[in-house]
Amino acid sequence: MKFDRDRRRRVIDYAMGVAALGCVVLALVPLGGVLFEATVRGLPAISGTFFTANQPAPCDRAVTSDCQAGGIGNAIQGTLILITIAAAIALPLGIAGGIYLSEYGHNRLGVTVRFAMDVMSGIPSIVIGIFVYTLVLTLNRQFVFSAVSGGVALAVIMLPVVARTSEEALRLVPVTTREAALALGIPKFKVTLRVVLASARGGLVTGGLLAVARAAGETAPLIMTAFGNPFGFQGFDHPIASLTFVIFYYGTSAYENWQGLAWGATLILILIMLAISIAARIALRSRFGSRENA
Amino acid sequence: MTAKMEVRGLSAWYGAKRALDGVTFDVGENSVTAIIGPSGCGKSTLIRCMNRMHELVPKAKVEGQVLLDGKNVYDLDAVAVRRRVGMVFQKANPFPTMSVYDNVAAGLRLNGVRDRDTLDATVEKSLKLAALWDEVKEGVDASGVSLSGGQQQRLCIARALAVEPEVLLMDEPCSALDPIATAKIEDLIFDL
Repeated sequence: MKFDRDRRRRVIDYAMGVAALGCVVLALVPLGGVLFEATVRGLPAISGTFFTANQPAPCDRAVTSDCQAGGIGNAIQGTLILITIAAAIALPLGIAGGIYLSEYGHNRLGVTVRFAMDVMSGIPSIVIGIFVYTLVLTLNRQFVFSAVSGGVALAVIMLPVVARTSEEALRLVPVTTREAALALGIPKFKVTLRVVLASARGGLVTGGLLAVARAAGETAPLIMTAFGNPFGFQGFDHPIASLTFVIFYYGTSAYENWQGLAWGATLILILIMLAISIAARIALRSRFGSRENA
Repeated sequence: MTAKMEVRGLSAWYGAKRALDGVTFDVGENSVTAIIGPSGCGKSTLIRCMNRMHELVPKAKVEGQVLLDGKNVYDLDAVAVRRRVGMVFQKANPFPTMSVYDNVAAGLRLNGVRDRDTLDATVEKSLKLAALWDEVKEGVDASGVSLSGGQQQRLCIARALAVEPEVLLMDEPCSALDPIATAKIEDLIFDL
């Protein structure tokens, strides 16, 4: 009798293990599918001119014999410029906001700001796109479809992410570290800037990188702001290309060479995301690695 | 003996919880004053009130007076008080991102001292006072948290001494240490 119960328990245990593993595999199927498809279809598009040339004229080998291969150099450049503008706005503001929330925000205003940040990070990105479009339209028509406008839209998306991750990173700095510095007779703002920020830098870098990754993958807000551009950078008040826009625009087009480039851009975007994620993990690990000795 | 610090009718609260009730005593100049009592009786709270660290705790409240050279510290600037009345904590808390040297120099540097020679001299003097110099002089650029527990606590003492406080408050600095490290720190307290 006892033996039977034991045996039954083991069988159920084993079955549950298999079921759990099955669920994991099932959950990984979409990820594997995306990676596989992007690699298989994207790799052939990555030719000599892929990283350097501008986007080509549309063409189809069935109709025309000499199709320009072209490239998405301008889109890579555009994404980098957009991200740089967005980071230049969102990182200082977001980290400053994180400092406020963590060091001074133990009051009603802090609670409100924190709640506002959470709401803001939940706003659909297309709404942020139309908001920035309208805002820029009111302020200066010349910048409606421009690099600046796109950068601002991405900055609005990054801001709450940076603020909240910075807050969390700063909160992880032990109270004893702050007290040690305050007990030396160091003014609070210096303690915050020189001791607390330094102690939290791993977390700050991670948060910043995650926000950059988030912004780099956005398409919707760019449609109404950066607009896209088949040429390279033409000035901050001109429309600008981006990887996500190329994927959106070329992926749904009817032309073979454009579709190929869209797949190539997909692969590059995934690789950039992967690189940022790995960098963020390394930054996080070195932070906790150094604290394990404490 | 003149009293360096005088505590007069000091009461402290954490929210509605009263931790100190009308404490009065004197601390002599150039002497060691030990405060003993069971855990939870308010020793830490008392000394945290003496350099205005208590008020950093949310909802904390203090009543009564703490006189430093006859002046109530609660009428002075908190940052200035903490420069004159240093503190070593129960648990060693070196700055995790700084080297041994930077830890000791932090108090001076962040108060605006830039001169390399002054910093070098102060760091060496403070580490010697804290009986740590011989153990770390080869590796002052190593991370402060790479030291052993007892060394870290002596590093914290050196850090507190570097700003040359008039009074040094120590909150059970040996509670987390083994007997040998404790003996070293006790010797050091009498040497100071």
